[in-house]
Amino acid sequence: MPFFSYGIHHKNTPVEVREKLALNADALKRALVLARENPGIEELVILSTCNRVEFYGVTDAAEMPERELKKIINDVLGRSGDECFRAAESRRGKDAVRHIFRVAAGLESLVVGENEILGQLREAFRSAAEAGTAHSLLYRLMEKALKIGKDVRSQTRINEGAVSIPSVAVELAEKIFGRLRNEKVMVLGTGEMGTQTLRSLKSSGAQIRYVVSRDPAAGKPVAVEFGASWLSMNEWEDKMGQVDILITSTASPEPVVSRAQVERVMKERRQRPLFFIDIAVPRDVDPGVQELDDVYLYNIDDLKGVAQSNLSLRGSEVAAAETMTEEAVTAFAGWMEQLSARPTLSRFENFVGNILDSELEDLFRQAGVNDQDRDRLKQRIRSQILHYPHEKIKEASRNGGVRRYLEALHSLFSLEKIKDPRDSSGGENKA
Amino acid sequence: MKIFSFLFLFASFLLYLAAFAAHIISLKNTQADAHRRAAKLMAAAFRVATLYFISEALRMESFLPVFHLAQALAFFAWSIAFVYLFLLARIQRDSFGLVLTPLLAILTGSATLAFQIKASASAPYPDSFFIIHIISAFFAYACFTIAFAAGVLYLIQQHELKTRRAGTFYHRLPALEPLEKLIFQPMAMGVVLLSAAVIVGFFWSHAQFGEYWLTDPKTVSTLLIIFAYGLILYLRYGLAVRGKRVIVFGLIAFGLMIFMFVGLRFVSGSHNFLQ
Repeated sequence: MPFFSYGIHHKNTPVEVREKLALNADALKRALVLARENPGIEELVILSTCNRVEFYGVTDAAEMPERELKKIINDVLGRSGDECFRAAESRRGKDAVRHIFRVAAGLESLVVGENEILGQLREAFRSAAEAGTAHSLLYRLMEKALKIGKDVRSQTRINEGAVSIPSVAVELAEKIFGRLRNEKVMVLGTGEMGTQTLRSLKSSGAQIRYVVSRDPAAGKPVAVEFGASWLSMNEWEDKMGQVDILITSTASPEPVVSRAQVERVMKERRQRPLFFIDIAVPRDVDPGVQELDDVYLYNIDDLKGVAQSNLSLRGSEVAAAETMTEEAVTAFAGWMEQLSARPTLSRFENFVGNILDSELEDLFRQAGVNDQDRDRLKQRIRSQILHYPHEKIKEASRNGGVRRYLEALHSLFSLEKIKDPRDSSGGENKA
Repeated sequence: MKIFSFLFLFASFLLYLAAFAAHIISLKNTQADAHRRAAKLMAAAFRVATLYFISEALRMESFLPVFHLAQALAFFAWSIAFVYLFLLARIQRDSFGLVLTPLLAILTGSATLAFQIKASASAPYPDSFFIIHIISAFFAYACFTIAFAAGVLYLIQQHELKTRRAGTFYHRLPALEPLEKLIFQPMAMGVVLLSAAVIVGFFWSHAQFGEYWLTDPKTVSTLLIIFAYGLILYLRYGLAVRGKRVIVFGLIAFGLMIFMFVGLRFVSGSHNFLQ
């Protein structure tokens, strides 16, 4: 198989090096244009994310086009390819196909099963297609990679469960309230984690109502960012009954929210569920609040515990995802084998056709067989002769044994002397 | 014909049992579509149960062959499956089958055990009042059963969230608010249907026996059930009370309904299914 993959990723190269190789849209376009003009590279897709910079391509050369790829990076980014790609991994043939499929399935991601990589791969493929560096072979490979990425996520639970603190907070809110539709949120304190959690909740459909802080200079910009009202630390308690989700991240050494306060609020709310996300250390919410019915309190350790549990769940799905990926690799390799058999089969068909033409033509003429009957008979004989070899080669392509049959055909019938009828059309492996 | 009825009933029991097993497997299965297989088995069990009623209807020449205990139990199971698969199709949840299928297996299994090969094929011809009375009563009980199942799932999910463990149930069960809908919507539907069954039953008893069965134990207990569920609905929609306590009341009301349903078999005379 003429495929290759080459590049660095989070497992073999530190972020200080990876960030030097990040390709923005313009740089990516220039790199692809350079690849298109390079005779050593037939086809190329460049995947550049924060966790990996990898080249997936097709080459007819026996050597891996490492030098060409490093030169492209050098020309586009002005960085030494040798230095940046010191730990690069290169793969050829089936190994390269396997790697690309595993990347698409999220098996090579920093957070196993994450969804973002699939979109990034799709985008990389689109850029390559636009730049004219992805043709028939890479097109087919990327199409299959995107499909396996999608199938793995829909047929296993590898992408299930949130694994970051803000996304765990959203997941829990959705487990309590269902899909978020304007559930009201209040945040006490303006820490970085609290603001990130607000962003996640807002993008999932919650409504940020109040931002509470001691210092208006810190709280008001956050309130403006989320379209919320700013409240001082003396005002928030009266509004607690109006919200469904309360995030606390103050620097207070004592709990800010007491059990008595929440008990009173729950009566006002007539037991409508209330979700506390306490990401402050020391904790802002009295742990006794958790004992109240319909109140759900998660502190930072609880959130981490859920994230860890979700990660373990993903880990247990890896084997199933790997099996699916391996099956896809085998199927793709089978398709490639069939493709590689086509020139030989065409020659063999031509060989059989030539014999039929030369040996039977006179006989047909003497017997007065009309053209229609002659063609039909020749077609039937040709089909009978070719049927079994075709089937055998098809079967062998599934387990990688095609080469043996092709060599046998070549040596038994001296097929190298026969012209491939497709040569005139330029073949179909090249774009 | 009778042997066909028995075979359909028994096959339906086996399919519900298989659906339950498939639901259990789907809890741990790595394939996300495993629950679909369980749902298909449940739908197949419902279709086979429908064939049982068609077979019984032909045999007894009755539109609604619900006269014997076996038929009543089988019809109860059929009603639950019908309400869940069709009337509540919009708010169905994958995990629901986990609670419903064992219940349906128990009901159809009991119906199979109570099935009497030698039972008489002759039955009183049901008039339209009787048909409406029976169908609305059974559908009402089916609605309450579904509300009960949703209540159980709610408490399990709530326990998972309270204990802060992201276990299998946390991932597999629906969120609390959608589960609340699955409790109160069927409950409201059940109250309406059971009230209709009582009203139509009054007319039927008057038409058949010349008197309204107002003091009949089953009528009184049914009115009590309507009152209990009505009170819960008032708490939920009238006073906007939410959360665990009102859901626990719903479970208690279901327990009361089962208690009366079973207990009345020993005190009620004419207002009962044939043994």
